[in-house]
Amino acid sequence: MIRTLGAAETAPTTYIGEIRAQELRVRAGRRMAVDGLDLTLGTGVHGLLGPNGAGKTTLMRALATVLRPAGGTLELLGSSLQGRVDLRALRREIGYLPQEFGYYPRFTVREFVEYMAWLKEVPGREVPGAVQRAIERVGLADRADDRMKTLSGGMLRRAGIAQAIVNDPRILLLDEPTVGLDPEQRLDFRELLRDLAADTCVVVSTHLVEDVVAACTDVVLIDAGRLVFQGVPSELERAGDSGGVGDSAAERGYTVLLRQHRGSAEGAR
Amino acid sequence: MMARVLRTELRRSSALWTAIALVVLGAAMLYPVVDAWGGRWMPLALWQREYLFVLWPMALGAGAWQARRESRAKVGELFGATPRPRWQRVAPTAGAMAVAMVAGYLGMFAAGAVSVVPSAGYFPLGLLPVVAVGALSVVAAVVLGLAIGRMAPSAFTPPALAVGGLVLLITLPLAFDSAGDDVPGALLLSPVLYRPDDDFVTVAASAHLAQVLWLVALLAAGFLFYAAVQWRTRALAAVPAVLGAVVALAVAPGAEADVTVPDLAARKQVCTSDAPKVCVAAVHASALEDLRGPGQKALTILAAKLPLAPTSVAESPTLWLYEDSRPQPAGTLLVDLEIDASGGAAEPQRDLLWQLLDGAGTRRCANTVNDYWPARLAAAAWLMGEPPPARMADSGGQARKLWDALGQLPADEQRARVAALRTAALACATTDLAGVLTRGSAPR
Repeated sequence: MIRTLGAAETAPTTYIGEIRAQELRVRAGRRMAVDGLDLTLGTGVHGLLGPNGAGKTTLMRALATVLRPAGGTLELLGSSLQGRVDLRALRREIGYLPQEFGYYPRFTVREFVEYMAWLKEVPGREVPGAVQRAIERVGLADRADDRMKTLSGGMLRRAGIAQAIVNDPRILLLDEPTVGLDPEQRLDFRELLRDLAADTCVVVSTHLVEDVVAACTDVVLIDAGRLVFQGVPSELERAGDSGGVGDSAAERGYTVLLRQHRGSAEGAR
Repeated sequence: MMARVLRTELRRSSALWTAIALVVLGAAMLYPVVDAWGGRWMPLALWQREYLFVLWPMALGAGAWQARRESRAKVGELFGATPRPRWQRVAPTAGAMAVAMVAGYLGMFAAGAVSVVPSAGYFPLGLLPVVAVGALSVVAAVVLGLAIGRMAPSAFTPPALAVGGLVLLITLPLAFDSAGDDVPGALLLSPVLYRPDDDFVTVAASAHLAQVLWLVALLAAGFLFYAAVQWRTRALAAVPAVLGAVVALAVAPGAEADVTVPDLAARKQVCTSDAPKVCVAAVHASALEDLRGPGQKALTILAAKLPLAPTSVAESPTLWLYEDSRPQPAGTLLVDLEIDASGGAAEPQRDLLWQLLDGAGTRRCANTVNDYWPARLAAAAWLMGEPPPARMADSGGQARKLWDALGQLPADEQRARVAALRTAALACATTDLAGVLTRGSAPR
């Protein structure tokens, strides 16, 4: 199915990076989970790494426009979220798989993805094609007409990815998308990410360092709500040359960078 | 696309099951009282409206149940990142539930119609608004339930709403009843329409208008509350509700008694084409065949045995107990007809004949004890030429004694005494018909 491109899509981009955050602060309950984050992300697949409680999910929720920033600036697709922004137009360009993916269990996969396409205001005549394409891309075509409640954990995750990409988003936010996927499905998923990287700004939050190295064009490491490291996967691996713990170069790099950051943060105090 | 989503909601929400439950429960409540509406459209529609005291709270609970889906499925995070405004998102949900309620209500009516269609000859157009307003009321209830269920998405909300609504709708009229006879028209704010005792009435247009205005306002308030995102907008939902109540009360009939009005077309007599003429009200046309035989026989017996006998049988559109002691016409034999489930006469032909000849072909005009009933029965027995049947109301064989005593007299005297009883009964001036029968004249 050939999709017609809207004027907004063919117009030259006038912004640097789909996502730009400066001194970004986002609250999670009472805690300032994202606290002074500077980050610019463009087209490509960005692996968001960090220990538990680093603020990954809070950052993802802010990028998904679910949480309002408490301070600093956040620009998505060139429009700042601080002013009177047209959230509705912006949200049409966002795909989001939350960490806790809620769904209607009685809907079939196709019905649910179709429903999400409708909620994302995909033009009506494009919906059936877009839904079929999204389901095929995550490899759920043979389960498309089964109820959501009959899916296994890995299949649910894939259905979650299908709904996230159904509107061909320019910003795709996947919070722990590989949880529950078996090794073969993870390989397929990496393939899908590489495929999307060409024209989408994909942010994948994960604990799995090897996923990031294998499929991401860019690594973002955060800790305690601040940026620790941003660079290509090979830089992460190189950081692991100087020691660190882990089974792979990337894992060693991850622990080294975190330790260095925490050390300098203590020293600064 | 909206239609596609609505279709999905119809299939995957609780809409379908709610509709089925409504039809099954509705039919299960209607059929035990089928004698009261079988073969008659308006009584069916009015019985259905009375059962709203169960159906309405049930719709409220069904809405609250459906509203829990969002919080139960924890889709808030996912949906929160989508552009479509909430009111557009929830419209198909509310739409599907509304369609289910209308389908369920009409399905219940259709289940009843199975026992009306084969025999009903009279189809009042006034039936349509009675059914339509009933359907509107359950739609308003389900949307109101969605709004409340969204605000309090607990598992206890649906049953609490259903039980609370039931208690409210049952106690509301009782509270007014105990306040005296002046039941106010404000009772129309309850969707329950309290059924009149007979088959000859329809609902006043002003009552329909008041209920439609109120229910539409309630529906609007419910949807506004359900669809709104901000508390300020939700508070606005009170505006249509209050406005609707005020306007509805202004147009509603002042007293509950004025809610039903006589249906003149239902009372119009339809008669046999052959003489002597036997007639029933149009709404009971299906019972004409049952009445024809006993009616004509009663007229023949009266003409043969008494002077100034009636020449036709007609059905009285008002129950005898409402007529007090108004004098009755001599030329027409008035009958109070009981209808059975299939629209025919409830009583067998022989019992009908006894009923027609009761009081020498007169209508009861007072609800008294003592010798009133036995005297009337003795007169009927004299006309029938056989002893009064024991199964009829004849405490202590009183009628039999009167009949025996009457039989001792010369034939002319017998005839004169029964004629005197008939004259006295028509005039409705005395209840001492036994005295007339034994002494030959009414007491001074």
